[in-house]
Amino acid sequence: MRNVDQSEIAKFEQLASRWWDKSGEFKPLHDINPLRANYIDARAGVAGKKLLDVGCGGGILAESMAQRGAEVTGIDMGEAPLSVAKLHALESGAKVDYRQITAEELAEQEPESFDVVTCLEMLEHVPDPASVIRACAALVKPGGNLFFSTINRNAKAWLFAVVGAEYVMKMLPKGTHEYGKFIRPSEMGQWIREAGLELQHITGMTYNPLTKAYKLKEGDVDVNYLVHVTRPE
Amino acid sequence: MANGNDRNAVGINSTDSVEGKVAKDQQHLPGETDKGAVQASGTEEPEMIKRRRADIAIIGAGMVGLAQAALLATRMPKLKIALLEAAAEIAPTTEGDYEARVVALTRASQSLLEEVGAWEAIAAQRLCPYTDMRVWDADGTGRIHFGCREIGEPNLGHIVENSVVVNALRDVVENLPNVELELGFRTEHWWRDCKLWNLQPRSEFPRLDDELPQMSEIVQAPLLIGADGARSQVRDQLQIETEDTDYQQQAIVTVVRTEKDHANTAWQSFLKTGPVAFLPLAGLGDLQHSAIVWSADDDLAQELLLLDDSAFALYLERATGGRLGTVECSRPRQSFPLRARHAQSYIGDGAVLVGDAAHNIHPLAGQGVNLGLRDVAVLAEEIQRGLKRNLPVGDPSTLKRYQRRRRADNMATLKAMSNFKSLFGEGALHWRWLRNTGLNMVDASPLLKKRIIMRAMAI
Repeated sequence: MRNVDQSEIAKFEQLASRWWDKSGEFKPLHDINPLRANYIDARAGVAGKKLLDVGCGGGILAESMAQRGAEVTGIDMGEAPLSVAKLHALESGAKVDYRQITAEELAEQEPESFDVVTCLEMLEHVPDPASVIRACAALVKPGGNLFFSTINRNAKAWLFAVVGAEYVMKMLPKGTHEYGKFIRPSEMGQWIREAGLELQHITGMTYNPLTKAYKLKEGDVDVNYLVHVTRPE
Repeated sequence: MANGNDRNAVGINSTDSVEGKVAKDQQHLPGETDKGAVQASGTEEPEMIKRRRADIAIIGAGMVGLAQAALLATRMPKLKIALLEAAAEIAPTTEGDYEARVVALTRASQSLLEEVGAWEAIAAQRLCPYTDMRVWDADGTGRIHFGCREIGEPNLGHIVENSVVVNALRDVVENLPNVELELGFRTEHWWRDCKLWNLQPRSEFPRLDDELPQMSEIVQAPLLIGADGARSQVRDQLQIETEDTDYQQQAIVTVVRTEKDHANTAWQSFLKTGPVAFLPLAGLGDLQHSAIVWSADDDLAQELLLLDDSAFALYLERATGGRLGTVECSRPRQSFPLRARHAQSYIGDGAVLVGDAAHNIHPLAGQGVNLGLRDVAVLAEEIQRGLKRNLPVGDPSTLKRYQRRRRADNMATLKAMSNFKSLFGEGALHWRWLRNTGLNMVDASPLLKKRIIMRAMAI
């Protein structure tokens, strides 16, 4: 059984063609991307490194990592987002190797082959997030860096991400998120430890609806949060 | 167990879609620097998302959009042009009867239509050259007469029904290999990315099986031309503001039959409530049909629309002072509000406005479409100039040159039209004296008249 939720994939397939419409449905991803990219680059120094982006979608993070000099592989199970990503790379000139494969399958084929593994805004869309984290741990070289981000499961997160982002602000397509799949930092922490990884840093990502600005804010992991972990040597 | 191949099997991909050709196409783009065409390291060709690549996407296949496509494609056969029209069809010209929406084409407009090869078809269908123009002040004694003989030309211009021009241009465009005309393309999503406009149409036919993703074909082009009329979506998309003047008048148009021949003359009577124009029609056997354009203040317009045919005919007879004899009026009357509207800018990032999308003027002198066709000619010139200098097709310098050349000219015409309107709209005695003596003075001065005619004909 592959760790894939077909209905989740279908949601993204429908919207895939507009992945690079920076004022469209994926605007929030475009808006937060510089923040995520800076965070990853500052903590792992991606230039010249082999980087794997798990759940790359239309390639927003993957391309920005390639621009910073990483040798990037992007994997996703959505066929439409992947073809959008490939087409976009042709237009932008970004060099990214896109493949339709699950993290688990790639981990069997190419264990310990990446310096950096990123898996952002993806764990909340799969049936078994712990399995993805284990696969990421297997894919990264000993001493390598991993980054995960997702949405917390509490009333505030539900209010912001589902009601706020999907319904009130119409920032995301309705049905993008299911509250039951949101992940608490404590759960994330447990899966990380079980995968033999070491937590380095955790930061929250906040959105101010008035200024329409996103920023990283340490200590506020109430809604979106981003973690940096390493695999011990 | 689902996998990607299952989804392939249900026909989301079509074999003729152009994805994968992207890199190849880019090499043919005139003037496009090709650094973007680096192959992604994935070797298999991307699938699923259907995209069509053009050098220029023109929104709106009205007279101006069609002319723009035809001129660009004729002059630059290497350009690939997508002409996208929201309407599902272009109505054919009615057989055996005239249509009320007409344009007065100047010599310059005629030359453009000749160049693209549409004029012959227009002449073969029906058109009316007019040799004279008679304008008078219904309230006073002022009058003026312009004749083509005064400037040694065979005519002053042609009155042609809109749909005759549109259908002739459509035939031209459909025979041009480098223009793809798509009807029923209603753009729902617009975005610019990697120096390309992406236009995604609303999909009209949802799939029966909801589980399947709906994929509509996206048109991509580095340059977007908005030829989509007065309520331009392209203009909205570029967030360009307009300066609007509501004249609080309606134009009432219809076709009438007159007792006397129109003698290939455009007749215009200036009433206090607005001008009435009789524009001569020909091609269906007689010289007794004219298209009426009556610009009337809103209240009067409402009244005129409600009148029965014989009463409306009487009003027209009175307006012409009986110059054309009795008037017969049996066709439906249409009306539309008169507004002047001018876009504060004609250009955006890789995008440009032409025709009514950029400017709407009082249709008083039938200048609107001539200005639009002038935009078309200048934009084609500038794009050609840019390509010769190896600039990309939508380069900002090209668009700025176009705007510099057209905006001032259009502004001047807009201003002139609105001055003209207030001159004749004013009931005050000194205005009336001014226009009466003015018209008569101009009429008595052959040289001044000659210059006015030449200007109006855009020679």
